[in-house]
Formats: sequence, C-alpha cells, structure tokens
Amino acid sequence: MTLPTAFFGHGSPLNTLTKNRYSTAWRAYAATLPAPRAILAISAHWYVPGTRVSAAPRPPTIHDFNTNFPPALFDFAYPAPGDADLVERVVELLQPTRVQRDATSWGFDHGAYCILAHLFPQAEIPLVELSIDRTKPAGFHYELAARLAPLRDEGVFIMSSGNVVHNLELADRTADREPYEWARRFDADVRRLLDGREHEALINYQRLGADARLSVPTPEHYLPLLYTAALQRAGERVATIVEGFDFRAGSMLSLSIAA
Amino acid sequence: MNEGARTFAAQLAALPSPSARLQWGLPELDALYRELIRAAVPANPQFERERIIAQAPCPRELVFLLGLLSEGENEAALLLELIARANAAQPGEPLGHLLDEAWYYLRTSIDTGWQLDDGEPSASAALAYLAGVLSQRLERLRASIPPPALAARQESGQADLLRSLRAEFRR
Repeated sequence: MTLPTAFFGHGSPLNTLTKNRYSTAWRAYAATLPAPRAILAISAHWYVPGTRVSAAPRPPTIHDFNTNFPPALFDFAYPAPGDADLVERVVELLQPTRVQRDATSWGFDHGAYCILAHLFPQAEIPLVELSIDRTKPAGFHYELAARLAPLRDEGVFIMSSGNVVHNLELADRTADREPYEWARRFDADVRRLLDGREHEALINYQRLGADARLSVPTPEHYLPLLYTAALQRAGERVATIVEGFDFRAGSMLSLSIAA
Repeated sequence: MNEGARTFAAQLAALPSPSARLQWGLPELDALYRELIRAAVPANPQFERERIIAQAPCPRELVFLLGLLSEGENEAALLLELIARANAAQPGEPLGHLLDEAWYYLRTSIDTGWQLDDGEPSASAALAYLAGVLSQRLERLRASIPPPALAARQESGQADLLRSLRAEFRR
C-alpha cells in the first residue's frame, strides 16, 4: 500500500496547542490516513548546512521560538521515539548525498510537532526528521526528495512543513485583515502549478516575479513544498487539506498527494 | 558611508575577484569580532580572557550573543561564510541563492520595508557594510567606561559564603 504524502502550512508555533480551523482540518485529515509504521518529517526549522537525520533513540522536543510565547508551549513535549532502521534507510536512499546521523544537535522542532500534535497526538509512531541543507539550491532539494519515494511503499508517512507564503517582516498582527493581494496571488499560482504538475516552475519560483519575491523572501519555509511535490507519482492528485492566511503574509495552505 | 566601511571597501576593491574578496574579508571580520569581544567582555586579571577569545571557534556567534550584531546582520555574515566555504570546497558551485538570502537579511535588518531590490546583491558590499557597522560599534564600546574587572576575590564576604556553603554540605 502506498501512503499519501503531505505538505502542511504550520503557521504560528501556538497552533501546537490551539484548536482552530487549521488544527481541526489536520485532525480530520489524520482520520483518513492508514496508520503509518513511521513518519519522516521535513521541517522549515531544521535549515542548516548539510543533510542530516535525527538519529537519537528519543530525540528531544526543541522549543525553537522566542520567549514571548506562553510557558505552556515551552512545557509541551512530543515524546515520539526515533527509528534507527528508518534513519539507515534514508541514508541509503539519499546516496550519493552524504547524510549525517545527528543524535545530539537537534530533535523535533515546532515545524514538525505543531502538526503532529494534531495528526498523531499520542506520539507513539516513530519519527525521524530530515534537515534541509541551506547551502543547496531549490533543484537539489527536489531531486533529493524524489529519492525518498520508495518509503511511501514501506509504511512511512512523509510529511513536510513550512509555509507557501512566509514573510514575517510584513506580517500584520494588529487585526484580522485580508491577506495581501500578492500573497493571495502567489498562493493561488502555487496551487495551480501543483495541480498542473508544473514542478519545474515550482523549483524556479524566483522567476515568478515580485509576488514570489515577497512571498518567499527566504527559502526555508517554501522548500518543504518541493519535497512533497517531488514525491508525486503519475496519476496522483493534489487535494487541499485546508487553506487560509495568518497575519496577511502567512499562507496556511496544506495539501495531500495521493492516488 | 562611515570611515570603517570606506577603508574596508577600498581594500576589497583592490582584490581581483569576488571570491578573493571573501577570502580576504572574512578573516578581517573575524578580527573585528575578536576586538569587539575584547571591548565588551570584562578584563580578567589572568590571561584567560585572551585565551578564550583567541580560541573561540566562532567569534561571530559570541558577538551575536553579546547583542553586538542584529539577527539579520548575523545571518548575512553566516551566509557569507557559507559561500566562502562552498567556494573553496567546490569552485563553480551555484551559490546565488545564498547571496540572495544574505542580501535580504542584511537589507531588512536596516529597513524591514526594504523588500524588493532590483539591484544585484553584492557580497563585497555586504562585507564592507558589516565591517563598517562593526567598527562603529567597536568605537562606541571603547568610548564607554569599561566594566569593572572580575574581582570576586576582593569582595568582602565571598570567602565566608564559600566556607558556609561547605559547612552546609558537610552536614
């Protein structure tokens, strides 16, 4: 059985603890999923030089956000076990790219558990995170991700977590206002390109003009989408899990790819 | 442009290529970081401070920790280091995406509204800018009254405190 694969717009770390229309949609989506034997998560927040996998038997929960967030968020833990077999399988599949088994410098960050706290709140399914090598261009990530495709037939749910539109500098937290027009347009463009399987255009997103430059000022929140797109097989469709905007400049678009 | 940035830019301009400028400029930034740490960290009656500064594996991170680099400046400097490292390891590797990112962080650290920029990002300009702001911060630090040297020995009551703690744990 081939498991679906999904991209999630995670938004604020507070979504970990919050019941809202996004987290409700994530929970509803989880109810449709066959139970995976393990999860491989690609998060915007493990954006470092080099490709790494979390290799600790019990990776720690990383509270990778500033101290303005409430204490309850710092108390939150996602105690899923690691998975040494999955780590070795990822290392094998990604060859010849050198993958560092990282048992000390990272664990599960909010890009992953913000979503997983709702998908699999019991945290009983083994979880491995894969870093995004910040020294590499977009095309590298797409090609790397495509090598992970066999995992979908091995009971592994591959999820990526970022935001299609993510411009913190222009985020407007003052009121519940409509998204910027450029944000809405870029979000719609990406959705259309995914539907049309125009992955080359998604990889070369910087050629999509000013809307793209404002929506993706830095690549880390966009690149996870390429990991999901690269796993799309012939005949598979893209379905929206939920969509919307936070703070005018943050797309919450979440998508699933399945037959 | 301040004096530090102007001098640095002139020295960079004399070098033949962007990669040569990075190879020369980054150790110069490193030297400025170490000067900043020296100016910001209290003097130590022993030689420990000098040893720590000399051996600090990443003085930029320490400068950032001390609040002497903004987040955007720190990211830009980090990315310039990554570009130089990748250049050295694999000449010809496409690295424009890293420079774009560095340039974005640097310009929005100056003005968050500076979102769109039609000019080409410049690693040399970023280096000279960073050298300029670091030089300014160094001057300001040196002009202020230096913090008192670490002097726990001289403070009254410290020995008594230690003795009483020892006594406490012997019980």
